[in-house]
Amino acid sequence: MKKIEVKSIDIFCGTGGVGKTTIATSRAIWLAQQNKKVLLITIDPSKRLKQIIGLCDRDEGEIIPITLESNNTRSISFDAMLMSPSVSLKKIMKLSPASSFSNRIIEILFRSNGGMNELMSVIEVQKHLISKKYDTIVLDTPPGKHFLDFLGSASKIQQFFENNFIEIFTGLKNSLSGKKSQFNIIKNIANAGINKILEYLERVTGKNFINDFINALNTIYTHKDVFLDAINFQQLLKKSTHSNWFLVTSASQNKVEQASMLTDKSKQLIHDDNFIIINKSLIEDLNKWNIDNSTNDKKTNQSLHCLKESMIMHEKKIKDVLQNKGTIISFPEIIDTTPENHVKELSLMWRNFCVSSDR
Amino acid sequence: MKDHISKSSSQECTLFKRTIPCKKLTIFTGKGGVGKTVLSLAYYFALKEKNKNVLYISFDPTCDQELINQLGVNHHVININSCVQTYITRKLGSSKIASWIMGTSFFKAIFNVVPLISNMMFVGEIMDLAKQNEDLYLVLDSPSSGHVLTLIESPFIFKSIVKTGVLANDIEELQSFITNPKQIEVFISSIPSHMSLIEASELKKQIQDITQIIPLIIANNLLSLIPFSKTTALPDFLERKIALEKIVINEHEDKIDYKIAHHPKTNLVHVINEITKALV
Repeated sequence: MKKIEVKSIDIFCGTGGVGKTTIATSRAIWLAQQNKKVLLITIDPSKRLKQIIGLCDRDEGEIIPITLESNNTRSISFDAMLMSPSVSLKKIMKLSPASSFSNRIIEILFRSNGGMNELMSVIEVQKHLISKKYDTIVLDTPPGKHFLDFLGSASKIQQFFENNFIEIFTGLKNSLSGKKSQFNIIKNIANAGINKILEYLERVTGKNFINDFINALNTIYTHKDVFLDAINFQQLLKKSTHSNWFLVTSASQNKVEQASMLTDKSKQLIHDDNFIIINKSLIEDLNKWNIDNSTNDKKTNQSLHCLKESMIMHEKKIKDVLQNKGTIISFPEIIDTTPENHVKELSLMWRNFCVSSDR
Repeated sequence: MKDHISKSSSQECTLFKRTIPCKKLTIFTGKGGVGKTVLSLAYYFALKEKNKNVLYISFDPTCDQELINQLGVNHHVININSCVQTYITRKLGSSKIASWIMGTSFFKAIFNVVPLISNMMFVGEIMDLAKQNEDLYLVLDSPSSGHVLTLIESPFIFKSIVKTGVLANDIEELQSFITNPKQIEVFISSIPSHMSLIEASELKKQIQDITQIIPLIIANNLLSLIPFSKTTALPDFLERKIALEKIVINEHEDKIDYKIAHHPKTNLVHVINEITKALV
């Protein structure tokens, strides 16, 4: 089986509720135990990472050093971050994270579910990659299609920051505030298109909205260099030398077609040297389960056999459907009470799949 | 504003083993593979057993399509493009202008980064479906990776930035529709794990804060509800799983409104039938 190597970025994706955050955290712990400098970022707006490593809402957008105690080795240290698109933007605009945006549209656009989450995450990851402070950045991504948004951020950035738009909006803003601007004929024609849209829009939304809207765009355009830099991230994702990506699916869920589609669509934007993690696998225990027909009545035996067979077949189906989509690795279901213990136990499993460390 | 749909909502039926007024729109939501589709289809069939005229609405056309066809469900798929096209056409009075606007790179660039717009259009489409037929009941199966919350919040967020004008009036109508507890019921499905139940209860509070609708939380897929007798010999891993499940359920007991047992997944049609029976 192909072993997992240490790379600059480890990305975990998958449909909702499969255990991405838990598995990603276990990966961060494993790498930290191999003496690697790790940054674990969760981009998922639901921020389940808080429950696992004891962070709170106040910590959003900042790098927090984490130390976990371990029974048998010394303590485990890594950095973690709860992604916040608004805090990221405030840092770019040199505002304090505690301040509010004056433009309501910006405030809404840059909320966790406002649409700019994936884009700002790319910028944030790029920033930390360039700093070279970490051996590996571990990314826990939002469920399903949002991962595709994350991968496709570069083209969105290109669309959004098309030169035409920037010049036109600067021109529009100037004309709104009474300043003169210079346009050549070609720009006027393109300008006419946008003017027309805004005219229609004004009919339905009122003039104030349009002003706020233009101001919001302008604010973003002022920092276009930071956004445009993030396009380079796309190039990184095409090369398997710089990143590992893991599609996580759960043995207990019924989402194998979605997992398959997500993998296929992702490969249009990222390299195809990926791993498929079947999480919460019970196959070993299921195969060891011997039903002693003599101890129960016929009806109970029937339902036990039915339960066992259905669970085995279900897991087998997942393996069958996904076997050609990447290298399959399984993580067993950990039946443990606390999220922290759960994640520590999972971290031990990485030993089976990784290239031996250089401890 | 006239309440078109009060007539049907005053009828009662027995579902989830209680007598409740049938709501015009029943929404199933919850993060991940928690059984939304199976539950919404079971609910659909439960309503049909009560001789109601029902429409099942979903967002993901490709997955589960086979199952839906097999069951012969009255199904409406909400599609982003047709939604937006219809709305802009109606507002500007011309489908040509609508097509042109949607085709411009400017519109596409904005549209791609502002899910708010499409979310609001979805609410509009659901509202239109509700108004179409007084006797029609709607069962909404939320998008698999998103919460219904982003849909519900969208008119409120939009209203805060578009304060006046034609659009503002439309938005008020959407707000009114989506916050009416007499017409709408929300079920949040969860599996019996800490993370899932915490997520469900956070979602419940968020929906309640915006709409005054009080969502009900369903703990789904419970192994501990499979009717094994006390003497049944179960393997160790299953015993531990069931024990852990009971601890988790106990800890979150105050959050859970309904519990549904695990049904072996070999045949989803069978699972849906079993749950329908349990509901009615």
